[in-house]
Amino acid sequence: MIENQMKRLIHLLQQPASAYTLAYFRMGLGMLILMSTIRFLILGWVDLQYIQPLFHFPYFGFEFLSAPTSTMIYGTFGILILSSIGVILGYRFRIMSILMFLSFTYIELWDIAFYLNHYYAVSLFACILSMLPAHVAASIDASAGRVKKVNEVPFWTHFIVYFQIGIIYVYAGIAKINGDWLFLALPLKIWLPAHASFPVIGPMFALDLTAYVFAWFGMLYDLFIIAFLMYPKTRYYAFATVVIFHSMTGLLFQIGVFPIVMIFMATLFFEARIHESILHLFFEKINHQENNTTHELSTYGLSLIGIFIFIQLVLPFRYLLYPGQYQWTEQGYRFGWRVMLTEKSGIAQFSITDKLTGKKGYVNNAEWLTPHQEKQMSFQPDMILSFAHFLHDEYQKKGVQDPIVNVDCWVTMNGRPSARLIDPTVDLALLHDGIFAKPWISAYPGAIP
Amino acid sequence: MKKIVPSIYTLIFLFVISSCDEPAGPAGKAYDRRSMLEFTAKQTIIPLYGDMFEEAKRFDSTLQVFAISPSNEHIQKLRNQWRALAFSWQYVVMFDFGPAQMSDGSLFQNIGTFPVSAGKIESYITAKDTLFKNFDRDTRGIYALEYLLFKDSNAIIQTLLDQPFRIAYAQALSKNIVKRIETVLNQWQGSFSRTFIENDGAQAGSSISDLYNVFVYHYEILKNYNLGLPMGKRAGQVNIEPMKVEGYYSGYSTALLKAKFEAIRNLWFGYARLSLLTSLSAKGFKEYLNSVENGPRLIIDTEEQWNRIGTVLQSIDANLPLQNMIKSKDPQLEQLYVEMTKHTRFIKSEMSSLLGISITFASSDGD
Repeated sequence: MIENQMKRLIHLLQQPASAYTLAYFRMGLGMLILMSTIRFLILGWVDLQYIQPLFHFPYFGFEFLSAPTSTMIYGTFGILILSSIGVILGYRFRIMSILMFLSFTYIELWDIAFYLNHYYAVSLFACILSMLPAHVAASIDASAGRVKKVNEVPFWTHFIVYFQIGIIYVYAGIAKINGDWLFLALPLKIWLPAHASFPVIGPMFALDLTAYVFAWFGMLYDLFIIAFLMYPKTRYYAFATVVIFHSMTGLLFQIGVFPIVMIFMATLFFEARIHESILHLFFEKINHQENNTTHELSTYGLSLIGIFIFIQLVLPFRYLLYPGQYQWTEQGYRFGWRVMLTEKSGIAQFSITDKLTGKKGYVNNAEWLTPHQEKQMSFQPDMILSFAHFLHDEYQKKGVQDPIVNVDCWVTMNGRPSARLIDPTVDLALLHDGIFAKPWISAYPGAIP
Repeated sequence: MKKIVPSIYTLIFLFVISSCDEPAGPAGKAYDRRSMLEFTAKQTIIPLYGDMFEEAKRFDSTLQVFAISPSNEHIQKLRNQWRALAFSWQYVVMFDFGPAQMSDGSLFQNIGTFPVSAGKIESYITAKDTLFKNFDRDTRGIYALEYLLFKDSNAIIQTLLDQPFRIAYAQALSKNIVKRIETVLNQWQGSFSRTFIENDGAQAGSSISDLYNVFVYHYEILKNYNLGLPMGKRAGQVNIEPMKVEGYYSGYSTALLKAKFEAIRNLWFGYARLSLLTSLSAKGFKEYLNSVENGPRLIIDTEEQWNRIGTVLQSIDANLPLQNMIKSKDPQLEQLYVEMTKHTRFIKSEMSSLLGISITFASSDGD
């Protein structure tokens, strides 16, 4: 029985699908990465975010990748730009796409203070792309005969991309099913009125009702938009909604290229002929002669896809393994598609005590951290711990004997009164980060609906 | 589905239409930031810079008189005028954005740096250098003048007569202050007010975020540099450093601290000086907070904490120099520092959160 179903599944995943849709995905993603990297450089963020800061917050397990030299920083950006051009053109696609994925991800791993869900999404899409035959059509590789030119690829190459887009939306929707979001319209009730001076529709944002409408619509949109995009009869209405929704969030919130990424992803659901005609603008002729599919799915390939899907399905739910509410403790929060979900802000007052003399002094975080880094750290326990270790070493160098590092950290969530995030008596210098629960995080006093 | 999508749009459309004549919530939720900015520019910032400009000019002419006839009477007048100048400065120091950001650093850096370096001031005097074309900001401004006027309490006139260039240096400092304040005031009275008022968004770089950033920044300066550093509160600091207070030579350090606190608090309440409030209504962060979700709750918390700090400050004698209290380890200072530290959660994180103000000076993406 199971064997039969597996066979049917494999059969379905082997069905022919357009190679041009994949090429379209390849070019689109390459262009988005190229555009956003150039934007990043023009805005001077390389200097501001990666070169200027005296301290970088490492990702747990990737500490060795943090704090690169400025040569490495600019070198990586150079590789990213060149490889994304290579990917767009389909020139030496395999190596270029792998380089694009690795350099983009490497940049993200420099400093967790700049973690964004949409960077994580782009990393995943780049990773998926690097494993797909996205250069068998409309590419220099195919024209030059480095790879056999074909018009069709098996459906699994499309499926994995659709799956990833679906995960992002549906999990973002699931995350919105909570009391604050739906029944108190928080944090939208805080965010929207700040935009009351927005042209024409601005005054609407000052109304509570608008926040509720946006909250419920946002939740339903995230949960169901993929279904409406997949169903041919609703596809174009759904796409119009996608454009309106993401343009709106793009205008209201400072979320960079994310709206453009998601609008592009929605166009992947269009019929292949549309992708073909768009590619036709760049490549003179679409050759329909050869029609044989390649890249048959082996058991090995199927298991790889299975593992990837399993991780994507399960990883966002890892917060269930930790005590307390994840919105507060942040344990299991990242890599979970919790996009624009809570409004948090905090104050982290570190103190250093000389174990020998007992002399206690207070740290000015701004001496080492940029405002953005300090803001991000102030409500995220793992970042607080990283900074505490850095402070321990810095003050030891400055002559403080065996420094004790404490933090008095107060965090406000969705406009509620601030509460202590971390036990102020714990010597953070003695703790180590890890994947297990952090018992030194204080529970939120009171219930979060 | 074909029917659902158009009906959703119809609903949204109807909703937009219907929302037009609905009252904007009980507290008037669509807060008029522009009118707050206009009030702040015209009723707070410009009058306060105006006051300081007058004090600076008065100081300059008093100094002229003293230079011509150095007498005990004139040095006393000069010192009194310095005091008036330093107090007026406490009320404008935080508006250190826009015109106050000059090509060679901010107004705060150029005329408000403390503590000054006695050694460096002496060497510029010896070198007869009054060009101020250097980055030694601790050799100029209001506190360099303080050093020259208050350092030798008894032998001051003799010292000035023995070293005539000291007066020339003081005059150059004074002219520099007058010129800079005039430049800033002129820009506020001219086109900058309009720029400031019209930039009424809430994103990084908007006027409200500028105002918020300087408000928080100067509160931190007050806590960390006027108070914490001299008290030896900084991590790694082994001893107290009472000579680092603002107003060390004049001994007005406690009074200046009180004035700066009052100025910052006034900005939150939304008026320039309490004495001006009688004829005008206040328009500031408090009023803005009153219009946002959970704002009234935060107003209560914030006012309570302003009062707690205010009560401690009131119990401190303004005539007792801060450096003396630090040396005698006065427990009231300890209490003041603790209460001021507690306040950051209200005025820094909670306020920025509720107002949706971008906290960072530079832009970056979020999600």
